[in-house]
Amino acid sequence: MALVEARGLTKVFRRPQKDPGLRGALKHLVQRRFKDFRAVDGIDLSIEAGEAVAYVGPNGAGKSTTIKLLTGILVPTKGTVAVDGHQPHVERIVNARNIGVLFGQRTQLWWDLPVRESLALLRDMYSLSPTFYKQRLERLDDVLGLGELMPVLARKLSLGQRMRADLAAALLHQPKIVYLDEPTIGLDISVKDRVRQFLRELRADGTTLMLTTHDLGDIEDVCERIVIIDEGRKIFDGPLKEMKDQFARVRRMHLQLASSVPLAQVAAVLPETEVAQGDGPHSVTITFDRFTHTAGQIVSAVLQVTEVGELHLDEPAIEDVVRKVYAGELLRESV
Amino acid sequence: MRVYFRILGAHLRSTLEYEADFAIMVVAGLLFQLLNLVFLSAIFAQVPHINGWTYAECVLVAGMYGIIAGLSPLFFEGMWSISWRINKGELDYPLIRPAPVAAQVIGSRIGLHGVGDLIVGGSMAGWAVTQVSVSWTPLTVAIGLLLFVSAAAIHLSFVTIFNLASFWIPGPHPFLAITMHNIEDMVRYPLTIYGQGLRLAFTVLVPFAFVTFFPLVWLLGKPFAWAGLLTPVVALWSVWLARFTFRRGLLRYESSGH
Amino acid sequence: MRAYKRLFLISARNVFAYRMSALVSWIGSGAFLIASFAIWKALLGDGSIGGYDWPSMKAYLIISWATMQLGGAGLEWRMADRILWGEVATDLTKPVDYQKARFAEYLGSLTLELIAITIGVSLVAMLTGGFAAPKQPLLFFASMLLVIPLKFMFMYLACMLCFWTSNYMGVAWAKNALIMLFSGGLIPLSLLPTWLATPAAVLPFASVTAAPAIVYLGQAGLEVVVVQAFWVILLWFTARLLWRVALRALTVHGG
Repeated sequence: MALVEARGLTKVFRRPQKDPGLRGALKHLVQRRFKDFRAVDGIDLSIEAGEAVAYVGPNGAGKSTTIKLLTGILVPTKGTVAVDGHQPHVERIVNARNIGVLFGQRTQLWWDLPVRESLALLRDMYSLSPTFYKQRLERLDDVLGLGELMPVLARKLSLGQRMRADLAAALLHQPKIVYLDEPTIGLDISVKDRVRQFLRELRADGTTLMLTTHDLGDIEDVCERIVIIDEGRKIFDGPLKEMKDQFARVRRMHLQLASSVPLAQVAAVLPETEVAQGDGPHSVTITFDRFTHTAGQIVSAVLQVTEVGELHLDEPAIEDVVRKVYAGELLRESV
Repeated sequence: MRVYFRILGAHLRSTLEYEADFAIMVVAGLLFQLLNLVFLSAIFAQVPHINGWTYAECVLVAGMYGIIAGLSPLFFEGMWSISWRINKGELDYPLIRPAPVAAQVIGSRIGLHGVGDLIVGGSMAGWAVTQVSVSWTPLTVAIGLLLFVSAAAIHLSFVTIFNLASFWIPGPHPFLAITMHNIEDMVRYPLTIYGQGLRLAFTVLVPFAFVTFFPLVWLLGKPFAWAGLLTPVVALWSVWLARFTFRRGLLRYESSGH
Repeated sequence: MRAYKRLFLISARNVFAYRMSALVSWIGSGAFLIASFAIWKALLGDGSIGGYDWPSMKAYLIISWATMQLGGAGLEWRMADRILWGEVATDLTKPVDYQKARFAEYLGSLTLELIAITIGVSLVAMLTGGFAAPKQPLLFFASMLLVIPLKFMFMYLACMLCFWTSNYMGVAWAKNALIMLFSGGLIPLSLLPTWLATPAAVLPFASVTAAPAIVYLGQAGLEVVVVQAFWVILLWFTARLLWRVALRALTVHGG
């Protein structure tokens, strides 16, 4: 049996239908109208121990809601969840010992307390032994650089520092499975790298990971399996590589050329690609398939024609990929 | 319980760091309780008793209410944060930790004005207890303590229940709880001064009468003294209702965002 | 002048956004009013205490309730937050006088309250069989008018303490308790023991509740209204002075 097993998981929120203003509020009191909103709609998911799963989808697709259902924060409207054989919202406390959760947008540190104090509180809540706690802190200090943060009040931490402290808080009790909701949101590149590095080490330790993110980098660095959802439904579930092969083949390169060269001349040296005028006078945009060309091949081909000033490469944004997957799914259904 | 005291203790330490605020809060609490005493002293300078209740007896009512009302900011202040938590999805983290959600929420704040309430309420009740005519036996003391604990439990349960209403009534402020708290303030006087409708409502509908009035009616041997002995039963019912409401509320919890 | 008018109007409209907290405060003070009525009814019966019989005590209690409710729309908390969160710095860059601007907002927030107070008073009058008629209607009206700026001065001065504290709640409570005790809101001042009646007589708080009430009941005349006016002027300029001191504290803090 898989570590996480969800069957037909569904969450329906009831939203009051209210007209704006005082009149609307009064009207709502007399005549209550509601609209159902299916945030998660019949999702099946199983995650084996040791897997690292990226859970992605556009805004409002139901990512966070799924995490909240899997962690027992929300009670499913329909369907079942079992994490290590326990139903999270029923056996909440048993389940809590197995899991670590991080919501990137929110801290679990106590706002008015120093980080050290928050961690000590968590130690007591999870009943960790002093030796285990000490070892764990040392380990987390190594990778997250906790030492300097320990005496600081949580509300005085910068976003990056807060995320490091929050990761420590989520992982203090060495959970079997860790859910991370947008773990790198709002972080600058160097902190992002550090967090990803940490997540990779976590995987190496055998921890099961599930993360939602908007950042393709998080996924590529950390996960090998990706689950895509849209409008509460699962539309792709498989190895990351397979998804990329299928849906993210196209890359786009923007080049600033040293001299004005006719587009046709560039296109001539680059068969099987699409060459278009870029934003500036000397710039071109080349769209190519990652399986037929490498970025290096494109550049060396252009260099035969003219010197190249600036260049940069668009990686397919996860939103684009998801959109394509969604379109592909529809196509397959219609066949 | 252990978790609750750990959280509360940590917050106490952080709150004490703002010394000026601490002093002002305690003084404010003291002043408000003293108001009750001044009022009672002033009117009893004019009349010997109200509806058969003497000065000392009225001071005992007000003092007992002061103590109980003071317990709630000191030990239950976090409950007042629940409507904000429900609204902002701030119950997510308490729900994923292996400790009771209630303990984590209740311990998350501390209101030091309760110290002022406790000091004045305690002194008033302490003085009044020596003045009223009660024949103290070990049994009266034991039952008295039981009734006091029950009364406090009733108060705290209803603070909880009215704050939990936020699971059903959306909005970031505990308006119902504040309103009910203001209404509960009416029990700082002996209930006999109110009309029948109010007395009935405070007994049956929302048992605020058991927070001060009925336990003291028993202690002082007034008419309906037996009703005071129902206080522990009402307390059990209130605690059960609070727990039940909490459980039902958590099932409805929707967090925030999707 | 146009700027102040605008602030007045915005604040008058904003009152509706805080209708729930206003409602809560009215219900709360309603409970307080019921408790006061009940205890005084039990105390007085058909007799009288300290010159107050039941009809005059009813008038006293309702006037005291009305003056307590005035300015309770939560404006003081927003004023305090502005100082606590440092938004006051942006206010300083605007070409309006800070104190006058806040006063304009305060006046704007009164619109809904005056309606509510009128409803409350009529309701109580109906339910309890009316009160004694005012002995000096015109003077009473003048006295009530003066309560409006006085209530503002108290909350404005209290808010200014936020330059030195990190939280307004304690200050607000201490202020409310002091007003309650020394204004006559708790009990008519003539019934207080002398050690409290003496300070009450020299403090400004009596002007806010006791003054209109005793004018209504004909226990005092023009002299009380003059004292009220005196306090309005004195407190207005005290606030200006305190504001200047506070600004110096602010610049020291901000570095």
